[in-house]
Parts: sequence; structure tokens; C-alpha cells
Amino acid sequence: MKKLLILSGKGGTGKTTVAASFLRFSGRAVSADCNADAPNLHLLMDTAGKPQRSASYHSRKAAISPERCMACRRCIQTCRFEAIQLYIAPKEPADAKTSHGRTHGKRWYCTVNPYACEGCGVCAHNCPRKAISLQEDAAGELELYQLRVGQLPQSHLGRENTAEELHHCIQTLSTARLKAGRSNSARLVMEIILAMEHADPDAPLAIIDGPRETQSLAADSIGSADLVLAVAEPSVPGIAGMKRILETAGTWQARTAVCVNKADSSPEHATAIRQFCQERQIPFLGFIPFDRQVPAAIRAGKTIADVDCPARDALLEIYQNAMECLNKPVPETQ
Amino acid sequence: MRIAVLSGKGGTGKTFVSVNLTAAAGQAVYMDCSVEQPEGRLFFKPEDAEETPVYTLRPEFDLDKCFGCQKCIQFCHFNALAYIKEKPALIPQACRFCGGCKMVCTQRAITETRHAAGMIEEGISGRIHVVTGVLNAGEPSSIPVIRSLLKRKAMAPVPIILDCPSGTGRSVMEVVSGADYCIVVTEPTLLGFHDFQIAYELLTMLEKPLGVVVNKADEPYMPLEDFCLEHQIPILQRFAWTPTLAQLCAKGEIAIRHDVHTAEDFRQILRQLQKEVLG
Repeated sequence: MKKLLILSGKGGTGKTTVAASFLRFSGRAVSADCNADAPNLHLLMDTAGKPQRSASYHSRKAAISPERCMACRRCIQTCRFEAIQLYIAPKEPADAKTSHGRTHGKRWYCTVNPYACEGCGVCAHNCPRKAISLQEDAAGELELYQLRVGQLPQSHLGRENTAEELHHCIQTLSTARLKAGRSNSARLVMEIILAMEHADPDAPLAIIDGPRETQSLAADSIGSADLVLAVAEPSVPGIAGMKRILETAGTWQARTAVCVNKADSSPEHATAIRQFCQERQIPFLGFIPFDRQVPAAIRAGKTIADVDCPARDALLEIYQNAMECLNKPVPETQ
Repeated sequence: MRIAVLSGKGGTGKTFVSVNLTAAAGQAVYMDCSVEQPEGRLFFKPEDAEETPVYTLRPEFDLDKCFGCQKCIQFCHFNALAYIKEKPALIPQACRFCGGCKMVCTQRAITETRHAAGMIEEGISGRIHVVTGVLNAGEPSSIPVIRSLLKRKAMAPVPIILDCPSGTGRSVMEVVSGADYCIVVTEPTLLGFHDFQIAYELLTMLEKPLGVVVNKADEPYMPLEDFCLEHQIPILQRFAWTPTLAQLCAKGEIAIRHDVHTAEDFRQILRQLQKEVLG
């Protein structure tokens, strides 16, 4: 399986739009959406039924038993994440049903803020009353969508549908959905990618809509990709973001390529990006023009591949270039 | 008055709104909390920026004292310690500096040293105080830099605009919990609306008042309009996509200094904010 990881250093450059169109151009493929705090690749695809869900326990949280807690505050002192506070019950207990009532009339005890807690276990280790336990925390759910990928007309593909495609017109999309206020993590990104590989191990191509935060880019997710495609936007922040991605990918020695979205919104920055790539010998795959039909298609929940417009033609060319890059043998490094 | 500007989806124009809103306020503080990709300073170009490093702790091993009990490795929940050649070794990208390994070591073989996780950059751009948090590449957590950033206080009672990281994760929550009012920037598309709902869910959970700015609003997107009406969320402003505005942003210019209409639009947001926050 060849893995194409699509990234952008800045938000809104069109990562998901590119990933969705690539999926429509490809035949048998699997895909993953690593933006677990707000996944939306599936919104652009034709999903068959509800996703298959499974809980993801990629973290744990401390929990303090108020009955045992003596409010010695050792946990508060040792916690590096400022995740524990002292709870002081109101002076006059309103009624016995409040938490104050349930705690054997205790006036104060320590409580954990689950959002700040990282689950390191230092507080549990230090608690003299053994009042703290670490509990598995379901931060979210892994989701596996089946996508219906009815064949595109030949004119849209630039080639004929292969026999395999006609039979395997179902693709799998692996993603996850976090609860509000929980963060994506390198571990979760790996879980998503593993679930994707597991769903169809023989698929020749995997298209991964990468996480938007660079900190989630664990060594494994970027290192295992066969090609990292940076979708850049022609603007000062867009170029800064692209350089950050290339730098991060460089530290993992991943192969990279660049394409520019909304190219004519600022032609001088677009050419600057191409020049930058030529100087660094990074394959430059093409420009996607700013096309009024693109926002309209997204508003309607369609991919660009389904709309006959200049942006689609550009994307198809970029897709073919990317496949060429992907299938080129890796040059041997001395 | 602390105003957080956030968006579920990336690229909706968080930085555009927060930079211009700060500029429209005249005297104000701009805090860039998107520490992984701080972009506000590209617009403000602050002068005489002063840098203060943000430190976290990192364990160091005295291998002569270590006799290989592996207690530290068993304790580490972040899998940041490996046992290589009968000695513990640190994987710095995974370490969250909880201090657990030092605590369990019976031989006192572990000490902690300061390590720069990022920095805070402070500078002046006209009458605007620009404070930027910068996270070093490869750091596992942005929280230490964000916390240190939020602890900075304004010298005068001026509005503080907080430019949040993208998404709705933990770091956004950290910024938003200290804010008096939240502006959610969204765009009128299926994806924009989907992510807006997630941001709305987070803000209701935190009981924060919010308003919406719809960016790239060429046509109204009915599901979003209906949602705001139903949940009584004020739409503070709508910005249409224009080539002039796009050009200005691409060049790293502050739009309100070049375009009078945009300037008036932002002043209108400020007036409405005054009303919403001060009652």
C-alpha cells in the first residue's frame, strides 16, 4: 500500500478538498481523516449508512474519591498540569443530595479537572490515603465509513474505469470523533491509520487527510507515508505554513511534493512558491486556479471531481503527477 | 475585556478578524495563541520584539547511579522512556515533564533540567501591543507556552484580543476559558457549519457568551442562519469575498488600513461587542 499524506501548514488551504477529489479520481483506495476534533472528509463523500464505531481509549484520567480524600493537598503540590483544585463545600449544605451531603459531611476535598489532567499518575503515587485512581478515558470514538464511489465518467477521469474499479466501488474511510475539549494526539492519529490499513490491507493506495496541528504529526504517521503532499496557499501566512510542513517532513526524511491552491488569488506568491520548490528540488505538482465553482460545490457537499470546471482539470493533473511521484522508486541515499 | 477569536475549521479567517479587530480598536493588545503557527506578527510586523523563553523540565539520568530497576520506565505513562543497553533513555518528543520518573527513582539518579519549549515575543506596532507565543518544532504540548502567554497582563485597561489555535481541542479550551466573550469565525459552507457546531458545543459547555462572524459570505448558507436564529446567537458581521481583500491579506497587510469599508465593518463589530459585553 502506497500512502499519500496530505498536509498544509495553514488552515483552510484546501487539504480536505484535495483529499476528497483524489479519492474520487482513484480506483480502489482507502482513506483516513486525521482531524479528529473536527473530521469532515466524510461530509464531501457519499457515505453508505452509519459508520462502524468503536471507543478509543487513548488516555486516562485521575479520579479522586471524596470519601477517602483528607484534603492534604499533596496532589495539588505535585501536579505539574495544574489539574487539581481544592473543592470547598458551601457552608450551609442546602440539602443532603448535594455532593457535600454525599461526602460524609466533609467540608473540603480535592477534585480533578479532567480537561487539564494528562493522566501521568503522579498524584496517585503520592496520595497517602490512596484516594486517587486512574481511569481509562474514552476521549472519542473511532469511525469507519463505507463510501459509495460510483464511477466517474471517463471524461472526468482521463482514462477508462478498470475492471477492478467496477467491482470495488466501495472505499473505506477511517476517522475518529473526539468529545468537545479533547485534543487530537499522535497516538490517536496512529490508531486511525492502523484502522484504515486493517480495513482493506490489499488496497494499492491510501489517501490520508493529515492532522492540522503539527504536534500531532508523530514520527510514525509522517515517517510511514510514501509521499507528503503540502497544499500551499499563495499568501504570506500560506508560504510560512508550507515551509513549516516541509521542515517537519524533512526531519523525518519523508519525500515531499507541493501544489498550490487558489493560485490566481495572488499570482506573485504562487510563482514564488514554485520557485522555492525548484530551488530546493521539491517536485512541484501544479496550480489549482481559484474557481467560483469550488465553494459552490463544497457548499453543496460535493467534491470538485464531480463538477466540470477548470479547478477539476487542474486537480486531475496534480493527481496524476502525485501518482507518478508516488510510484517512482525511492532514490538510494548514500 | 478579553475577547477570544476561534473557529472550528481552519482558514476561515480567524487571524484576519482578530488582527483587524485589534487594529480597529486603536489601543489594544493582540495575543497570538496559535503558538504552532503564529501568523498575526506577519501582519503587525512588531518592532523591537523582545523574546522571553518558556521553559519546561526534562529529566536527565546519572547513569552511574542507575542500577537498572526500570521503575521509571514502568511508571511513565507517555512511553517516553526506553530501556536501551540496560540503561534508561529518554525520547524527548514524548516526554510531558510530569516529573514521575524522578519521583519513583530510588537511587536519586534522575535530575531535572530546564529546557526551552518555546518563547513569548513581545513588540509594539503603532499603538498595539503584540504578544506572540511561539512553540518550538517537535514539542509534544503547546499548553506550557499558552499558559505562560495568558499570564501576561495588559498595562492599561484596553481590550485584549486572543487569536486562538485552530480546531476545538484542549489548547483552544485553555484560551477560551479565560475570555469574557468569544467570536466564532465561520464560512457559509457545509464544512464550515459542521465545525462551527462543534465550536458552539464547546462554548456552551464552558458557558461563554458568543457571537458569529461569517467570512467569505457571498451567499447566505441557510442551515447556519437557521441555527443562529434558533439558538439566539448574534451574527456580528458578514464579510464578502472580494479580490481586494484577498490581495491585502495575501500580502500580509492589515485590511482596515487600506480599505475604508472594511474599517467601518470592524468598528461596527466593536460597537456591538461593547453592547454585548458591558450589557
